[in-house]
Amino acid sequence: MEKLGINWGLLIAQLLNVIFVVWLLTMFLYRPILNMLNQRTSRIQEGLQDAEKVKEQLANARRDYDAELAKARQEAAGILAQAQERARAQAAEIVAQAQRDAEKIKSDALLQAEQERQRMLGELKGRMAELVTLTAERVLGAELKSNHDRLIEESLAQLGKNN
Amino acid sequence: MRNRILTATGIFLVLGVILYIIGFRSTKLHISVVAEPVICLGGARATLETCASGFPITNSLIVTVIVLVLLVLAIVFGTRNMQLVPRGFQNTLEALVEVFYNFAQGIDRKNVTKFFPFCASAFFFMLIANISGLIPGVGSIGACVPTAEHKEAAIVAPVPDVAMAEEPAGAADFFAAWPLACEKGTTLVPYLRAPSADLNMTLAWALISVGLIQYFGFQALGAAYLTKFFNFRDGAMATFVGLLELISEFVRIVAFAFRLFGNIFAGEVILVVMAFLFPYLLPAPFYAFELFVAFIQALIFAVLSLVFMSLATEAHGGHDGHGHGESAAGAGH
Repeated sequence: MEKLGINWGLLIAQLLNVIFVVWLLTMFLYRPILNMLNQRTSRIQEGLQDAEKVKEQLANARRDYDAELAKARQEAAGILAQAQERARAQAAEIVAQAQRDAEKIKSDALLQAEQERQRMLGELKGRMAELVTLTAERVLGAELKSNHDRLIEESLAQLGKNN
Repeated sequence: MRNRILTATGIFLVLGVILYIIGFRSTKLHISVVAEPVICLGGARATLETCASGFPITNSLIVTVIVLVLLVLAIVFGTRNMQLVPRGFQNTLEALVEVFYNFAQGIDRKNVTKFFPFCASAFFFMLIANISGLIPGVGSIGACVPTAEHKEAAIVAPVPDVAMAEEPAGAADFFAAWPLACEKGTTLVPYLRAPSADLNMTLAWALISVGLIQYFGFQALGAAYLTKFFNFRDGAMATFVGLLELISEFVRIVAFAFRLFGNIFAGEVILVVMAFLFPYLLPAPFYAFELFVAFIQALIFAVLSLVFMSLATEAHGGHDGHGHGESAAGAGH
């Protein structure tokens, strides 16, 4: 052993050295570094998961947006159709109202015209009777004075029949 | 590019041959299996390699402390201000730890948190320790210690160096007259030496590794772990195999310790011998190879520990992979 240089003191020193080296490297090199590696791994995994989640959310949002847009479009179309319907109805109503008004105006005018005619006719009759009376008075003179009222009535009735 | 490399190599080679012929090289060849004490704490030196009394502060112990300081500095600068988004040195450290963690996970997913601290520490510590021996100046800068005197005064029998401890009689060293060169009768004791080229260090790691293997085995299987070694129910063959397993556990300590020590020490010897034979250009490929060995030996120690721990936690019947592991270990170098 001596010839190979093995010396108890040195051997024990080296044994202690081995223990020290293993302790030193384990505590201050492997542990922090492996911790750091694990931490990094979990961080990267987290990041990837987050990215996946965000992607999914984005897809969801996109789908929601599309659905919303379709709905809005449909609604707009509905509103438009409704409005058109209402407008058409209103237009029809307005036209009807106008027709009714026109009808009324026409009938009013007719009525008025009829009344006017009646009135004018009545006036004309009175005037005619007066004229006839005046003429008859002038033509026949005083002798007819006793029963001329009955004659007037008769001629008037005759006139009315002719009319 | 290729031409430039060839040209540079050729010029360097010619220059080296000229310098070699002039005698611009060291004729000293000093190799020591043992990590020499630089100072004997509270005592006196007995021989080049031993202390008569007191605690030997060996050159490999000094480098062990330096490696520890480097590790502490790396931790301080790497994890001082941990960010979720890493940059700079933190990134480097994280990458190293993560690569080894994933590798350990590939071997044993279930118990990786239990085995990882020791095995990764072994890898990182040994990587720095192994490479430290290849830094220029480590093993070549040191104090000159008188050789002869101490050999006479040695209490224990003097340990002969593996190669030539004595200078060859005829050839005077070219650098002998240079300042700071060691005088005749003294030998260089380097201040620094790779910790892995010291059996104390490799044996300590091997002991703790094998100890942990047994600990994890008992933790996972309880007393049933012992049936791996003392199996008297399945006949004589199983008993014999069990005893072999028991022996192999002890052999593992030696195998772990000497595999690492042998590889790193042999690498240093190869570099020294190559530098001795022809100091110019020749050691370069070996230097590159030793860098590779430094890495691969650290990895082998860590991975074998991991595999053995994983095997120890498995219930009976897992020896098929076992033999493979051991043979792969044997083929290490």
